Amino acid sequence: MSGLLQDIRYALRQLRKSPGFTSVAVLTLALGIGVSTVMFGVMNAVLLQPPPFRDPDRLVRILSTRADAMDGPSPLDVRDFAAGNRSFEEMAIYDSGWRKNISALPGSTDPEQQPVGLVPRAYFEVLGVEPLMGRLFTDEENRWGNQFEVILSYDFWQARFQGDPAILGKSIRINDEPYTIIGVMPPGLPNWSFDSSRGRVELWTPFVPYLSANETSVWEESSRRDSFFAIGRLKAGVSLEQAQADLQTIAKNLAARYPLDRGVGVVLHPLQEDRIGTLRPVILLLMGAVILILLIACSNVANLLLVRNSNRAREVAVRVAMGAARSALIRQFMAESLLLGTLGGALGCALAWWASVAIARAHPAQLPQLAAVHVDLRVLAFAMALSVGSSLLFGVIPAWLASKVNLSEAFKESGRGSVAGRRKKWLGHSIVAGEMALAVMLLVGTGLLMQSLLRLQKQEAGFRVDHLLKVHLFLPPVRYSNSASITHFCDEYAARVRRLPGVQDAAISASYPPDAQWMQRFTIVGRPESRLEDTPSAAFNVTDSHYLRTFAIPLLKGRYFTDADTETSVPVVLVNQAFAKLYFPTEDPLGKQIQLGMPPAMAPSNMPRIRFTVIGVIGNALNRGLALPSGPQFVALFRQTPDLNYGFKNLIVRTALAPFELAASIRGQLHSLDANLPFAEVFSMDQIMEQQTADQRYTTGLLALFAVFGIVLAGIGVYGVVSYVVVQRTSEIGLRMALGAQRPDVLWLVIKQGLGMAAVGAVAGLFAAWILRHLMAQLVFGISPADPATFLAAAALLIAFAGSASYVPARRAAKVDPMVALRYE
Amino acid sequence: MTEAPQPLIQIQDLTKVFYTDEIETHALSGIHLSVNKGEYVAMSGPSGCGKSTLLSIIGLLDTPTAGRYSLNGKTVENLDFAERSRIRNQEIGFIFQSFNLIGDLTVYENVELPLTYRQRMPAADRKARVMEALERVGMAHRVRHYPSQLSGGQQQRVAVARALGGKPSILLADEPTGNLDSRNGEAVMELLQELHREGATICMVTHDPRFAKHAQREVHLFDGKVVAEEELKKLLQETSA
Repeated sequence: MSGLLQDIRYALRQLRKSPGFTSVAVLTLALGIGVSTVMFGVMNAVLLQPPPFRDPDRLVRILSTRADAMDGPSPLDVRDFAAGNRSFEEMAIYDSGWRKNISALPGSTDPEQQPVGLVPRAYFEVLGVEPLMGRLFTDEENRWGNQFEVILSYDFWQARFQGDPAILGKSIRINDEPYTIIGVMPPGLPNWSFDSSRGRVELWTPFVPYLSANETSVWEESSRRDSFFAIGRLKAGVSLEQAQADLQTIAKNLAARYPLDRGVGVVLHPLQEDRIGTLRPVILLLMGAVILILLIACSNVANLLLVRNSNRAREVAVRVAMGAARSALIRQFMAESLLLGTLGGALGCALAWWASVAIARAHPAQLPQLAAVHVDLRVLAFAMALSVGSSLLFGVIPAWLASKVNLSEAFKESGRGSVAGRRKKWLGHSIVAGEMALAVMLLVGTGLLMQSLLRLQKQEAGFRVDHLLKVHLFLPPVRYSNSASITHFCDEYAARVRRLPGVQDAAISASYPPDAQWMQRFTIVGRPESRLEDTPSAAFNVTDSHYLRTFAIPLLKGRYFTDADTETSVPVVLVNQAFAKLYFPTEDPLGKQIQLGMPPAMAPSNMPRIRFTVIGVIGNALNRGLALPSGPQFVALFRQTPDLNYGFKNLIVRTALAPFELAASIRGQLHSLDANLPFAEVFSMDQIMEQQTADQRYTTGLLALFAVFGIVLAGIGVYGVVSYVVVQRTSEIGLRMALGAQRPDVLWLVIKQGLGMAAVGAVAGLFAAWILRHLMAQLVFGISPADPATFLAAAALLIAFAGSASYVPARRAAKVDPMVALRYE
Repeated sequence: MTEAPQPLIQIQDLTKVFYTDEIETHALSGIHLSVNKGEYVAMSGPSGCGKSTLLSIIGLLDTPTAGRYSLNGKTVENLDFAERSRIRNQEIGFIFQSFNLIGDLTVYENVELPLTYRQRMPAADRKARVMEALERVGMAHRVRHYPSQLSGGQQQRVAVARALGGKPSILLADEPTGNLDSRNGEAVMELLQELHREGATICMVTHDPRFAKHAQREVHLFDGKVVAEEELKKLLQETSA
């Protein structure tokens, strides 16, 4: 024990004695351990940490399947599942966070929009979450007309009501109707259990499927087509597979009873998977990247130690002469390595803590899971293990080699060159080549993601993206109770905005590119569908006659909407090119008729039916995000579709000025029409397009940062080794110069060492990247994961960087004075 | 009646060949040497004659290519690294030309160093040994100093203390005065003389005839062989001619 303490004391003294070496080694390790710990923190928060609910492994999401598509189940299906199953303790169906107008908040004069979750009490019961204050909704409150209660999130309560302990019983207005606050939920309820694309859910009101108000067989029939979100808690001891088989049996029975349930299956996902979403491959990629950085960092420190230990050959020889066993020598060197690892780990933890706070505070809205990133005991244990593991990784070989000193050589006065034996030199060069290989892999990955991102951003949108402003609008049913009032408001609002100076055009539209989420079933008149599951569906939109001009979507055939297309004229529709190609490949679509909804023979008799005539074919505008080509879409006028003319709309404005310059005047027009409507979700189309790639930019940015770390560390490695070689070969260089070598000869002599290591590393790295290319396949867009240009560019960049890193010691070597150099002999 | 001398070192037909690339260098050829307990032997010869190589083999820092070597009655020429380390630690004390003190250790820690490699030696015993050795060489007042704060003569006295601390069977000194001025050199030789008078066995390599004369017996080496003094003179003359 005293020997170990002595080793540690001596190691501390050694590290204090060489502040330069210690600083470089500790900072290098801190970087490697720090980024690895941060990424482990992300992995821990997203992949490893169980959801913060009671018995989280028993929580599942219930999904419906039809053909290859996956969707949420209908309230009736969940009611029947709940009644007939033997596997679940409880199930709950709920709706995701709809944006609603909130007003009468303390300290706020303007109404605003907030996503509101629509949930029954069972939602919280399934999750095992009890309110911090107040109560959950009663079954009565989940009925139409009784739903005017609201539960607040802890953060909302704190931020908007300053944690008012007397909050219960107070009222806020949602969509112009008063809601009584009946509860406050505890902190930490994650947002990912909702569809997070609409923002963070801070308010919950009762889930009232319209079935409750209209319990007739007709509505029951049609309600089977609705899709919501559903979760369930498995009984103890029931496996996912057993539960799925149980529900599948019920689904088959339902399919036999209800035509609308034919072909509908059920699938269960652990709730944990919700949090992971599409992040798993991204996190694994980034985790792989930081492991590469850590390996590069360890290689660098190993090389530093090799050089440093070489200079301590005589000390080792003295210790050996005094009778030190090899184990004692290795222990001595390992004590230094462990100290370095511990210091690097401590600094790395500080770095990780800081970075975790930054990630949790500033992450893309598309990745709400990252809000949970923090440094906990598990992450700290990982960092500690990493510190010890790294110490072993970078310390063992240098310690082993240092203990194998040639005693008789080391004791000679001129034993300077003896310790840098060929093996050590070869090992040093191999380590640097290894670093280069790892850096090339990082560069290849970064290059592929960057090109994917560029290609995504350069996707042909199909409309003019610049100078467009979008504002979200929700007309509450309490004041806009029918299609006519909605149409009137929308027409008037758009007309007023069009008259504003600087506005070129404006349209009101339910959805807009590049992501149209409204899918609608339809049939083509004259083509009867024999089975419900064969009924086609396509992206749908309702808008006004200015939509196409505002977006500058080209008309390819036929005509645009005009003001002559009114509520009383023949309903008309425009189809995009993809629609025409898919459904009318050999026919002219103009004049063809499309009927909304299910085939007439299968639809309930009193279901509203609208039959449209195709009047034009328009260009494909993106409607499935940037990564997918435009799907079939048809666009109708909301004034001609009263049954589908809902209160949620978007104002799209084509401006001659910078879009936000007009925001204040557009807001003025809104409030001159209705002062109680919030001016919400105001974005330029450029911003919306950027949001589409926010998570890719985040990932690519992180990987690029890691690649910079990797290449800089690898460059330091090259610099260190080449510098050491220059010192070792000073007399040789002096001799060469004495014999007539010119400075360029010496420069090349040195630089080629760095280039050689880089070239070997680049070849190895490219080979490894090629082997691992399938890992990138699902993360890249529009480019092969084995893209030769990217591979070659990565190698060229690395070799150039290695050449630059070698140039500094090469210049030093070229300035060697032959007289001084030869005195080294 | 005088006690029969007990041999401490017995070397028979010892050879050492160095191989570098395709060149064989015969550093030692057929050495026979015996050193008795309590004896003070000087090994001398011209530069490159193999005296330091012989001392390295005697000190178990190197292994012979062939021949037999027994130390204190134990055959040691084929021991593994660990066993050689143990014997060096227990039986041999080294004094080097360039002192070879570890710059980052204090005087005390340098002297303590070989004792730290002994298993289960209580700290109190170590301290007593260290202080005894330092007092013996007159350096006890410098325990907290670092080697760089000492003169060359003082450093070598600390090195001698380090060699004595382990109470070895034999002291091996390789040109112990080589890096010292004549006054300090004489002082170190005087110290070795005193140690010999107190019973220490000393084997010293030197190329300086003045210091070789301090020893009881001189062993002359030339081209890796032990030669008589007269023969050495003749060979040296032939070489210089």
